[in-house]
Amino acid sequence: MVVLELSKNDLLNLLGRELSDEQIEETLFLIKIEAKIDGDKIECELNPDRPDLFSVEGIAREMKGFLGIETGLKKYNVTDSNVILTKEKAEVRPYIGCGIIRNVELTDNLVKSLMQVQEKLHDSIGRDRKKVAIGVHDFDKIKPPLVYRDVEEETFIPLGETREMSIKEILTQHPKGVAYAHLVKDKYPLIYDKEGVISFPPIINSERTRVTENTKNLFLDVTGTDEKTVNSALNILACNIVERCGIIEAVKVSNKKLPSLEPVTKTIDIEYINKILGLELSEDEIVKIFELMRYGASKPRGGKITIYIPPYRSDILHNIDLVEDVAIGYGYNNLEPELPQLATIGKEADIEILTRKIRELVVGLGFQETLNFVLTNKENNFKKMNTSGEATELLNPTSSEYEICRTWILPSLMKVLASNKHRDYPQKVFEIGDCVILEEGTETGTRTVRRLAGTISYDNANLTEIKSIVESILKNLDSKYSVKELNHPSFLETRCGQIIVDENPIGFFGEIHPQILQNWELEKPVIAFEINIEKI
Amino acid sequence: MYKLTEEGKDYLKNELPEKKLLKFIENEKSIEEISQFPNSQIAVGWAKRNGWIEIENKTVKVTDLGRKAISEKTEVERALEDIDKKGEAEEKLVKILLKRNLIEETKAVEKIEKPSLWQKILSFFSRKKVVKEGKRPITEVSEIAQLTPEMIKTGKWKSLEFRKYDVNAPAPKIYAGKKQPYIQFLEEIREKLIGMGFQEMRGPLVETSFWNCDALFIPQDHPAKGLHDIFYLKNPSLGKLPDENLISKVKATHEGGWVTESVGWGGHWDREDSKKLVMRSHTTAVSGRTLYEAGDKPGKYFTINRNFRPDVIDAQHLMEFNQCEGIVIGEDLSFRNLLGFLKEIAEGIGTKEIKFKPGFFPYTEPSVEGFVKHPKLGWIEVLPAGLFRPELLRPLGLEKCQVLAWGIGIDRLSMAKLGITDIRMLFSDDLDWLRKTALVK
Repeated sequence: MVVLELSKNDLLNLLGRELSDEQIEETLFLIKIEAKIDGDKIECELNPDRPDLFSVEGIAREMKGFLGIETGLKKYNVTDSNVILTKEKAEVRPYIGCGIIRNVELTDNLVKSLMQVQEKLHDSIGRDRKKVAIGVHDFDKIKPPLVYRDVEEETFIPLGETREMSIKEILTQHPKGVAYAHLVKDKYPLIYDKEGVISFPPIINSERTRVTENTKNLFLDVTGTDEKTVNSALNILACNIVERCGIIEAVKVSNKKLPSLEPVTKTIDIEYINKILGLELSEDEIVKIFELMRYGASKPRGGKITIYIPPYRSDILHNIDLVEDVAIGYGYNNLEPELPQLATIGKEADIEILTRKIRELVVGLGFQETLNFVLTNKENNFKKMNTSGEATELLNPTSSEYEICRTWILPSLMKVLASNKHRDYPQKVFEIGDCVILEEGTETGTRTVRRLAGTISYDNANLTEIKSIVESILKNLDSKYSVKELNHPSFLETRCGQIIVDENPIGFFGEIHPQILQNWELEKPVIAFEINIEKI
Repeated sequence: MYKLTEEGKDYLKNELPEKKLLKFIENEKSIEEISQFPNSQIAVGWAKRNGWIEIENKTVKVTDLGRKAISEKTEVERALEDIDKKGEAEEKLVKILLKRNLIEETKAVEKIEKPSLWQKILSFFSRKKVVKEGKRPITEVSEIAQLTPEMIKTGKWKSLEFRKYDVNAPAPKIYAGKKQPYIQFLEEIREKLIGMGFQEMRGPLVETSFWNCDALFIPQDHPAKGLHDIFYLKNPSLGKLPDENLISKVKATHEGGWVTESVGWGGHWDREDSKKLVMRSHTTAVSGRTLYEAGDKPGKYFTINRNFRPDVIDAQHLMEFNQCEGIVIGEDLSFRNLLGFLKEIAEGIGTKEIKFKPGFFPYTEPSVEGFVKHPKLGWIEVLPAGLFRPELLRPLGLEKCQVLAWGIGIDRLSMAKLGITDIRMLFSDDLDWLRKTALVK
C-alpha cells in the first residue's frame, strides 16, 4: 500500500469544481483509492500499480474523467529545447531520461506534491532508488550541453552543503550518501554541465542547481537500470506537473527526444471485453467508458477498437489490463454477481479426512485441542527435550523464539503445559498439525508431515494410562501395530514404548523424564504420545 | 483456616523476594548479576510467572507489569495479610500460598465454621446436617447414600430410605474434551466449501520461490519479495526447479510476454533466484501447483492452510496466518461469475451485505477487494479476488479456460466470528480460555 497526503482545497482547485467530502471519498473509492478526509487533509491509501496517481495532479486528472469534467486522452505538446545530453560510458545506471518544464509557478502545493511524488516513485517502481532515481533542478542555473558518464573520482558541493566534498566523502559522511552507498561501487554516475557536476544519481544533486521559490523553469533527470521504468517515471513527473502549470520541452538524450509523450496504441476485441466481464456492452458504451478512464478510443471497426494509452500509464501490460479499466469505468458495484453453471463434486483431501476423524477420536478421549505455531526455536524443539538434530532454519527470523520449523509436536504441548501450571489438573491436551522435516532429494529439501501428539499431566499419570489411550486410538483406526521398548531421551527409561506399523516406527508414548519436566519448569508428572498419522 | 509459616511471616514483614528483585533490577541487569541476589531462583521464577520481567539474550528486564507491581500491593501480599489477620483468603491465592509453603492449615476442629471445598462437594452426596457437624457421613441402616448393584438385584432398595440430597450444592468441575475454537470455525468453512462443490488442494509449507512467486507472474524484483515480507531459508536454502519446459515458458513470459500478448515485466529472469526456498507466504502457491496439474480441465478447488511472514507479534500481527483460497477453472467464466462466488461465500459465512472495490494483485486482472458488513466492526475487507492473468495461466498450460481466484483473510473473519480483538488469541495456549470457550455457533 502507498500512502499519500493531499490538500482538499488543492484537489478541488485542480478539479475546478466544488465537491462534498462524501463525493470525494466515493469518487476516489471508484478509482481504487481508499481515502479519509479530516478538514483540509485527505489521507489516501493506494495500490502500487498506478504510480501516475501518486500525486494530487494525477489523481485530479483521473477524477476529472469520472466526474465528466474532462474525458478522453489528454494530449501533451512537447517542444524542442535544443538542450543536448550526451551519454558516454555509463554502466552503473545505463538509462537516463531528461526533460524541462518551463514557466512553472512554484507554489507550496506544487513543491509539496513534487517532493511527495518523487519519494513515492523512488519507493515503489524505483525500488528504493535502485531501479529509478529522480533529480529536480533549477534549469536556469544549468549551462548546457550536458554529459552523463561514470567516473572514479570527483568533487562538488552536494545539495544542502556549503563545501566541496569528494565522492568518497559524500558516501561516508553525507546522510543520503551513507543511505544509498550500496547502489554505487567503484564507479560513480555523474551528470555534468559546462561548469561541473549537477547531479550524482541516485544519491544527491548539486547545491548549485538547487530549486528555490524563485525557480521558473525545472530540469528533471531520471536515471536507472531499466529503460522502460526510467521513461515511465519521467513521463509521470512531466505529465503530472503540467496538470498544474508549465509547458514541457524535450531534451535530446543520445539522439532520442525525451520525454516522449506519444500514446501507445493497442487493439482490443469488443467481444473479449464483454466475455471477460460477463456483460453485453455496446461499442458506443465501451468507447465512452474508455474515454471516462482517460484513454483515447478510435471508432470501432469489425468488432475491434484501437485504444490510445496515455504516456503516464505504465501499468498496461496486456489487454486484460484494459478490460479491468472498463470494469472500473462501468463501476464494480454496477456489475451483477452471477454464479456460473459449473457442477462439480466437493471433496476433502484424504489427509484432512483422516485428521478430522482422529481429532474427533481424541476429543472423545477427553483431550482439549490446542493450536500452536509451526515456527519455534532449537531450545524448545531439541534442547529442552534433551534431543538433538537438524531442522528447517529461517534466514531472516524476526525473533529468537521463532527461527526453525518444528520437527515434532510434543514440545509445543510441553509449552502449553508450562503456561498453565496454575490451572486445574488433570490437564489433557493435544494437537494434530504440521511439522517440517529435512529430506534431501525432494523439491524443497524438506517434507511437510502431519503429526498428532497428546499429553496428560496430574499427580498419578503413568505409563499404563497413556498406553491405553494410544491403543484406543490405533485400534479405532484399525491399525495393525506392535509395540516395543524404546530408549528415547525425552522419556523415562523402560517407560517408553515405540509404535511400529509395517516394520516402520510411526510414533512413541511414555512417561516424560523428570529432567525434561524440570527443563520446562513443570511440577507434575506428564505422560505423552506422538504419532506420524500419515503412516497409521 | 490457615496460618503463616515462618517463611510467610518473614515475607510479610520484609517483602516478597520477587518484589525485592524488581527493586534490585531497576530497569535491567544481566543474568550473572541477578544470580548474586539472595533466593534468586525463587524470585526470578515468580517474577517471570507474574510477567514482571522478561529474559532476553541473558538480560533481565522489568516489564510494564513489573513496574506497576513495584508501586502496588500485589494480590499475594494482600493474601498474606488476610491470612495473618483472618486466617483465610481468596481460594486461588490460598492455593498459591500453600504451594509456596508460606501458609499451613490449622487444626481440623477449626474447620467446622466454614466447610472446605471437599466438604461442599461431599454435601452433594450426603445429608446436610452430617456435614455441618464436620464428620464424614455415617450410613445408617435405614437411610442410604449410594445405590448399589446388590440392592437392585436383591430388591432390598424397596425397604430402604434414600438420603435427601441438595441439588443446589456445587458439583466438581468436569472439562469436556473439545476442539480448539478456531479449528471449529475452520471446519465449518471447509464444510461449506465442500457443499459448494469445491475439492481440497494441498501444497507444502516450504516452497521454492518459483512456486511462491515466479509461476504466479510476480516480478522477481517485486518489493513484496524482500526480506521484510517473506521468510527465506538458511537450511536448506535452495530447492529444485520443475521441468525445463515450464521454466522456459515462465522465463519468456516474465521477460517479454512469450505468446500471451503481454509485454511482460522486462529485464532478466534469474533461474537461480527462483530456486530460493521460502516459507510459503500465501496459499496462491498451492493454486499455482494445482493449475499446473489440472490444466484446462474445469473444476473448483480450495485450500485452508498456514502461511508465514516476518511480522513481529502483536495484537494485530502474527508471523503465521491462515488463508482460505479458492479457484474455479472453466471455459466461459466471467468477472461477474467471480462476484457471484464472493457473494455466495459472504452469505455462507453469514453476511448479507457485500461491496466491491477495484483491487490490485500482481497475478490477477481484473482484481477486486470484497468488503463484508460486520454487525459490530462495520465494513471489513476479507475477500481479495480476481481472474488469474493470462501471463500466469498460459505457462502453466491453460489455453482455453479462465480461472476465478479468491483468498479469504480467514483470521480476521474468525476473529469477528469468535468475538476476539487480539489475533494472538487464535493460537492461545491459555487452557482456561480453551476450556471455558463454548462451542462455536
